[in-house]
Amino acid sequence: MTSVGDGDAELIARLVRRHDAHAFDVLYRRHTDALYASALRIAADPDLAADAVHDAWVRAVENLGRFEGRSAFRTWLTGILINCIRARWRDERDLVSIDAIGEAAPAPARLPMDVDPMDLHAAIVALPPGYRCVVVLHDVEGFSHEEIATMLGIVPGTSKSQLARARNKLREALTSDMRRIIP
Amino acid sequence: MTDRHNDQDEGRGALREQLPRIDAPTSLHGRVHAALRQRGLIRYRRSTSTWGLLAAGAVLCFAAGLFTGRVSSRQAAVAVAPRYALLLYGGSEGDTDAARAARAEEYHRWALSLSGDARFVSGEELGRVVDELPARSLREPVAGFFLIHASSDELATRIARGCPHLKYGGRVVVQTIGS
Repeated sequence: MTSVGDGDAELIARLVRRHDAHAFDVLYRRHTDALYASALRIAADPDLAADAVHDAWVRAVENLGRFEGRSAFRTWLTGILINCIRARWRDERDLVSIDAIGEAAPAPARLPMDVDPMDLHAAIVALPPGYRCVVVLHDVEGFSHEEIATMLGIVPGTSKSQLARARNKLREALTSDMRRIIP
Repeated sequence: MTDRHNDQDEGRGALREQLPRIDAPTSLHGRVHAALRQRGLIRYRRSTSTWGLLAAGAVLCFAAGLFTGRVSSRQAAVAVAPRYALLLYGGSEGDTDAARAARAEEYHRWALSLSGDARFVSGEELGRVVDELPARSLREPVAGFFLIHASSDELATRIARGCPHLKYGGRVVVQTIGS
């Protein structure tokens, strides 16, 4: 019998072997809020985010037999989600900042403390898509640069430089907002 | 995910707690389910205790979220709203195992679709009557039940009107739990 106490690996095995809908339901409940939150923050569009999560689950279950457990299930799922978002963007300009390679990374910026959560959310979704993507994956979801590089098909150094630039942009946005509030 | 204490990866996950919590839309579960069923990628096994399993999952996930502080204030408010029992009587049984499994799934989905000022707590299909005391006192056995949180009697009644048991010829009685 399926229970919420089962680990991902056990649930995945049941889903692959028996197409067990209960196993899927537990996995869905466990991971979907985080997937949707990432999708919404990256895509900045609730409908696109929901569609991308839908696509990601379908693609993930279709390919579950290929999941080898070398990464955490959430990491694997998030990689699929990113591809689904990119497929739905259909705008190659959106990929430029993700794929931009090579320039030396600026020093990482410290973000202002005590930022209002809604201001922080607004500042993240106002970033260019590629910056948004690395900030969400690294600073919000906690993935490593190696994991992000695998998800995005880039090298870890690019992820690091993207993140440093993204943080600078974010800091600028948040401090300019603060200057408007506190002259 | 790999080691979080890598100097190269300073700040990993640092913004998570500073951002507002975002929950997936409840309708998404049904959409994904339908797509997977259509492709033959998931199915319910007919020997399960029907409505209960997903119910348990939902409740435990919710309880875990509440315990770890990851449930939003709105969800937390709903969690302390009055509880109601929706008692299900009568209703036709499915003719085949497949029909019964599909119906169980439909009840599942309906229960998990409750949102806003209402929340699904648990539910079970009840089986045979083992005994009745005093003898022959029972007019009609309860076929099953749902426990829900709802902010008012009116909302609980409105929810009961949407219960799929009604369309199978069953009846639903809404009762408060406790006073």
